[in-house]
Amino acid sequence: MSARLTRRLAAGATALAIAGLGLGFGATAASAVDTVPSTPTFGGSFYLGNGNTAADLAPGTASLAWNGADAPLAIGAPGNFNATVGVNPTTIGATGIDVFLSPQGQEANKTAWNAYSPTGLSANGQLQQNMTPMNLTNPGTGTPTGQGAVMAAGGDYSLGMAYTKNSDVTVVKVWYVHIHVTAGTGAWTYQPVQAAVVKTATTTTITSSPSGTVNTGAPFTLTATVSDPTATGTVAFQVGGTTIGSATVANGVATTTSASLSTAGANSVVAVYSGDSAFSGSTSAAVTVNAVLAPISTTTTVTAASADSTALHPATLTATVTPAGAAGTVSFTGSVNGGAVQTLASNVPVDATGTASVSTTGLTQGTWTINAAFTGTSPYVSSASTTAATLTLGAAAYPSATPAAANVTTTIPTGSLVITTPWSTATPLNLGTAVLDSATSTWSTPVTTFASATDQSKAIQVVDTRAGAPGFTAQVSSTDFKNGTQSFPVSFMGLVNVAAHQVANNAIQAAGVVTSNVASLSGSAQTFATYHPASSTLGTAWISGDLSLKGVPTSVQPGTYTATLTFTAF
Amino acid sequence: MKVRKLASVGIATGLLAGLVAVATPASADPVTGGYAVVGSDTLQDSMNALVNGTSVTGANVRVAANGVNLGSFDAFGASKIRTKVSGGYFTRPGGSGAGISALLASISGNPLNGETLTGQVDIARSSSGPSVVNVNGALVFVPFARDAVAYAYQVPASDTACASALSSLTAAQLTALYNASSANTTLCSTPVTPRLPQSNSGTRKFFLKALGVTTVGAAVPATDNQPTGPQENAGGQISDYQIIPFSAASWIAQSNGAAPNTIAASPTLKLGAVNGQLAYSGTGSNLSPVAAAYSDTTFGRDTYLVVEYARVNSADPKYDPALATLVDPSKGTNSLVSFVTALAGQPGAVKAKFGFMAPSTTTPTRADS
Repeated sequence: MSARLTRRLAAGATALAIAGLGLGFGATAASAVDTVPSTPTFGGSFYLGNGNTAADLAPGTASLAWNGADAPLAIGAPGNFNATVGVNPTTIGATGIDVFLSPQGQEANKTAWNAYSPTGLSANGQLQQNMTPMNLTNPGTGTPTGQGAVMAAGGDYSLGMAYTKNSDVTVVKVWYVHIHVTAGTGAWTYQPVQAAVVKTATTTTITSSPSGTVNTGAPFTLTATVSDPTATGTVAFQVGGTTIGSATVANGVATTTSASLSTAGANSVVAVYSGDSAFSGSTSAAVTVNAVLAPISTTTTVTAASADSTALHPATLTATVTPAGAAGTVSFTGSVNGGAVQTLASNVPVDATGTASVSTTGLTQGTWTINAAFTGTSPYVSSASTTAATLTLGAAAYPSATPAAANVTTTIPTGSLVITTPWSTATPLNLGTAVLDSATSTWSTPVTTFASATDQSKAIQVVDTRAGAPGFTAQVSSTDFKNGTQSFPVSFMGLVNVAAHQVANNAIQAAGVVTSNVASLSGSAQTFATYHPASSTLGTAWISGDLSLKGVPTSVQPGTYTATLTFTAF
Repeated sequence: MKVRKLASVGIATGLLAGLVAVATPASADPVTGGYAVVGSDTLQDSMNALVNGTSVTGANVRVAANGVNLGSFDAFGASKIRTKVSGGYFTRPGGSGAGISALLASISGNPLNGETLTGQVDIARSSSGPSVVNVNGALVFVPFARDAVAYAYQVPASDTACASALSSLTAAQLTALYNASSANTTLCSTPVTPRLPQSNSGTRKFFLKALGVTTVGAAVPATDNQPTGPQENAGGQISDYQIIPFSAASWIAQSNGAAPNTIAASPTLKLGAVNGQLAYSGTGSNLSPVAAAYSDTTFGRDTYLVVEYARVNSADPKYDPALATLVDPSKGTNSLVSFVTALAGQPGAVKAKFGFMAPSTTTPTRADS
């Protein structure tokens, strides 16, 4: 291979697709195609095959004889001798076809051709057209002139087929290869050509789903949209030049669901579109994706141990949190004999090995059920033990106290029983002026009621404070009414409607006081109230009743008569 | 179209060849001033196609070894031809024997029919093998392709009994017909007359040799034994109740449209089955050669291109590498005698389209004539 061809092969390594050929040149000959300017007359290129052996003639390397000993037939695709070259001439208005040899770049300029030969025009493109340079027996008007002169001079030329019209004067389209001819021998190599592709500029946009925050290491979706829906190729999603995901463009969209970020914080993600044979690549504006450390699940287990299984002796509570290194604290809770759950220890730090341990002497006798709960520090997730530890503690072995004897003394007062009335010698009860009862010719006084339910201040009051609460009996006796020397019996006076009244804040119950009327007072004591219930109490009782005189003989002399009533209680 | 004169070799002639190759099968006299090819009518159509360019296979095939174009001249046409710019007119060689004679005259410079042909003929088409084999001969016969010779017969459509009788004749029946002194009256109710192509026809020579007929019987019209006799392998040459030798390859090529169809105009002209073996299969315009007929050692025949040995002998001062390439079967697309048919772009594929099969050998034979 000549140095010139070597250079061309290197240039061809940019691997542009051949436009207008449609036979897979780009895929099969990525590095063996010359790129030529795209012109309206450029039809395409072809490969050569050995018409004697039906073997491909390798572009760039096969050294071919000028006289056609290698039987170079133009074929549309490597290995496919039935792949035609060119098109139906009627589709481009062609009426003739020439096989030609021309300076490179002058393929469509017939006046610049070095040599040519008209050949048959096939309807569906040329099949296995013989491309032997020596057979181009018509000399052209280019320089050098004639195939023999080209053979002698050597150099770079184009060899191809030109579709023509206007009686073979006007070139419509050309299919050709580049050839390099060794001066003198005419040995030549060939190189298919392709039209330089004018690529369409693109723009690319990017979106992230979710759009805000993702976890580090967790897959999320990135979508790039290329401005032209016919664009193909790939998109690389990059952060700071590092690819975090990629996808193939389909219908102008490339989506990856497996992008992930390794660095926490704000990440600027861009979509880099590769471009394809028709479209230029482009890079999107950045989308910011915040990455936070991904939550790390933890598990917590708990154990409890006591050296002597004795209540109130030191017991060790231990929680183990995995993975090791999980940051956070542990709290221990427990219940004894199925009772209420109580906190045993809180905020116990977890060490680097994942252990949180605390010793306590607060566990009482019984069977303890103990759990541990880990409160994680982000990104560690909190967790709690799922299986409780149990710890049975026996009674504490402490001595019991010696009983202490102590005498307590008190004095219960004997108390007293006091009965009082509102009246005295100085302040007698005035029954008022007697009224004559004509029917009986006796004197009577109005009824005086004392200690009524509404005015108990005038009541007979019994205050019993005697220890032993013996109960009491209240009696009344009276002297006769006297006025100097005059008198009349007290028997005309009665104490009736006797009733007991409850005094607030006193245990003596009025209902327990049994009262009785004294219809006719005398010098002898007569009982009007007793208090001897089944269970006596102490306190104050008020007793009311009515006093009046009836039937006092009219023989009694006028004057103010006074009798002295004595109330006693025992 | 017949072109009597080639004024020059140039743009105009090249263009003409290119366009003609697509439109119709090659039928014209050559349009190039390169090597001149003359002789057999049987090989004429396939050779015309190869040297003028043809797309009969779908590919454009044109053999022009080392950049030298060829001119293949029909066996029949205008009486005079001119093959080289430098040469004069001479009588058109009509058939294999005339072609070989012209080649010899071209080599020797001896006048032929009072005309000097020196250097005017390069290749002779021959549908039959050498007459005089000589290991030191001036000529070399290079196998071109294999043909089979059968016979064509023409019977009115109404006479189905005769058509049936003539559709298959044994070699013995044919021999009897051509040895007979008068027309056959036993095959059909109407006497059947044997006919032959003109006296220079290779097909005629081969056919008679195959039948073992050394002296043509009087039943054959005397005019058939002249160079002006019937053109070989063509329709319109015989009448009803006549038979004539016919190249199976030519029959197939014409039926398929590869060669100009001269038989279509004679719908009652049929190809007979020698010894019951029809040389083609298929119908209409889709005929294929039948190997059993072509490989028959009596009626199958190799056909040849004949050149001067000195010009293809690399040790000889007259050595012409371009001509040597044309008749070297190993030269593939540059060779007229290659019979590789794998690709549409190969000359062998073209010859197959013209009803030929591969020759029985590729070994050339040196001969005097």
